[in-house]
Amino acid sequence: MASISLEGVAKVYPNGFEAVKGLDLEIADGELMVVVGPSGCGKTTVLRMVAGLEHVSAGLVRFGEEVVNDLPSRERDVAMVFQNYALYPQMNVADNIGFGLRMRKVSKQEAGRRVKQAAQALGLAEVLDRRPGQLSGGQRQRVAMGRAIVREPSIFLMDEPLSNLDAKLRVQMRAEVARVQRRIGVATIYVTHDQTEAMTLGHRVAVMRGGLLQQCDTPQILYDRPANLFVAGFIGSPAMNLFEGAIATDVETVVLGSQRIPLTASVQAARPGLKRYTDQPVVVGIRPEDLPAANGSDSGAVLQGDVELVEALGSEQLVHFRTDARMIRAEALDSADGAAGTELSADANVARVDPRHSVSSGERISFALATERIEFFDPHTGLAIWN
Amino acid sequence: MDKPSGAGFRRARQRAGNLLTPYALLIPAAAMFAVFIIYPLYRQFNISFYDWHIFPGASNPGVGLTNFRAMFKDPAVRTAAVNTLLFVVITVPIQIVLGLAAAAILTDRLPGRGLLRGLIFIPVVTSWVVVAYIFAYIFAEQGGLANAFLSLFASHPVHTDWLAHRWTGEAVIWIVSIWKGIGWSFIMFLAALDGVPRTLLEASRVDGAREGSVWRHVVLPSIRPTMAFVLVLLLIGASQVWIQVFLLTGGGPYGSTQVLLGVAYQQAFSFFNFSYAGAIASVMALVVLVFSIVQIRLLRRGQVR
Repeated sequence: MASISLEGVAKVYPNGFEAVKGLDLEIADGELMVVVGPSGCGKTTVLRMVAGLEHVSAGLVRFGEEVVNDLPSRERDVAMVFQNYALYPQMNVADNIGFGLRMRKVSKQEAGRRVKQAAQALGLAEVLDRRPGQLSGGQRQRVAMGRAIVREPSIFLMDEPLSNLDAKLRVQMRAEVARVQRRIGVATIYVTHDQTEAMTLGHRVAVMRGGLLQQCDTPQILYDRPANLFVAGFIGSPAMNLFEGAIATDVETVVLGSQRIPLTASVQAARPGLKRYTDQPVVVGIRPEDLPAANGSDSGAVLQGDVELVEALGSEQLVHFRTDARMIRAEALDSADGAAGTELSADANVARVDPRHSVSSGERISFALATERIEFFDPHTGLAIWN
Repeated sequence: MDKPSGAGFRRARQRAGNLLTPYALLIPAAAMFAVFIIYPLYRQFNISFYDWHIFPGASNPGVGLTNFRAMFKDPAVRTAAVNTLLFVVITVPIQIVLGLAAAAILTDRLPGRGLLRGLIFIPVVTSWVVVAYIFAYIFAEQGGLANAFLSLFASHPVHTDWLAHRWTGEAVIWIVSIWKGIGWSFIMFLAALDGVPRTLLEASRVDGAREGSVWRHVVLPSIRPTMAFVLVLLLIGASQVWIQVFLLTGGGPYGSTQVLLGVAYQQAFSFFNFSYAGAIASVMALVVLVFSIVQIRLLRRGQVR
């Protein structure tokens, strides 16, 4: 049992590529920390440095109080689940799960007992004498998890463990991972590029991009108060709508194209920093669920748009619409493996609308805007505007 | 009305053509194989039951198993068999161990490993004649490098005539063969080691395995098919050793370093005893055939996951 702390950790490869830059991160004992970001953001490198598979170029990695920078993997007492599972093809399931115990000189009896127990917990009791080649993808994934938990490690690392599974199995195994982690209760780092996985699994989520930590907080805070444009665009599906806007001289309205949206006193009070942006461009972010269709009697702020496409999902409809305000593409969407379900929203704005409200493409729609839910960002630095 | 339509007929012909194409493409290779391998093998086996003469029109009386019986009583054959067996037992394991060791060292990120890889492989592609001359010089009695080197450690100059005595001659033959052969097993193992998934090595290290255990439990099982392949091809090659013996010692002194293929060659082309040579070659071919079958078995077993 130990906490993990990274202090100014950096990784520079021999070719000069900086994969991770000055990362500070604390993972408490028992905490599940998800590290998320687009491919190439350095998240897997972080995990590999913690595992001891990659040399740390600068900074300190601590387990508890102990600095482990130069400790080889086998002495770190970490367990890791690899993306491709990395099961030993010549060994059967029981030997795969028990390999770590054998290497650590656990007695045969004790090892056998623990392997059986882990197999039972993961529903692998029937396949203990099969080889990995004879297992389904889900079963292989379970074996990889079994191999990691049977050792009762003090640190648990998972590198995109669910990305090779089909969508249905992934949801199922996600719950399984959460259950297992809660049961073994050790500090865990879970790496993924899937923001849904990050939001559902993480006690806290660290969002990375280009080797830099963008924000690290609980899923709800990441969602409600993204620190910058990148986090705003990366977290949430469909992604947050981002418009180019401007703050009027009196700070009482925000201009979106030809529309003027009044800002209440409470919004101005919550974000005193907006004063510095009078007559200047800002990026305005609105979550799709904060755009319910206006029913005519609303007296508050209204945003109008032209409906391009309606996707009826039963529980809700996703209304793709356009305004004359320029859209900002969140950078997360530019990456090849951006959050799932955001493909369309890159081309249009999306609103989540009650399915009982009839909407059809081509018509003009009015949304009732909750202005205190609007986010503001500096268009140059991308940082959220608060103070 | 049941007549095949023109199109259907064409299609049927096309299908037959598609089925025949692979066989048609195999004909050239099969013909070469038949003319240069199958027929000579058969002929050699066939004449070993006769007292066969190369002159056209000479009488070739059948002698039954006489040649085979003579072979098992021939002291020259016995010496050659011992030498061949020793050659196999000594050179094959050393080539495997050293080839694997070199491959293991040179897969790691070592500065200048490209050059080293090339240097190790050069002997494989160098002509046996050139190699034999170089080593004949190294192990020469007068002015040879080996003697000069050993003289550094001795109280008086060393004048060993390496190639003129049985065991020193054998030693030179083994050393040359190992030196020239390592590059091949090295390349085979290099490719095999490259094929071992990196994550498997990493997983085993995270699991607490030391480097020795990583090799025993992950690397060696992964390269087992290559191991079987290299082992059997080396066995087959080594059992047919001859050219280096012919070039270095000529089988001498007094046939003491001679090998089986050398006896067969001598019987055929020095003494024109084609039938006797055929008997020796037939027995060797049988042994090689057994090796080949073992190879196929081992390879198949290695493929089962």
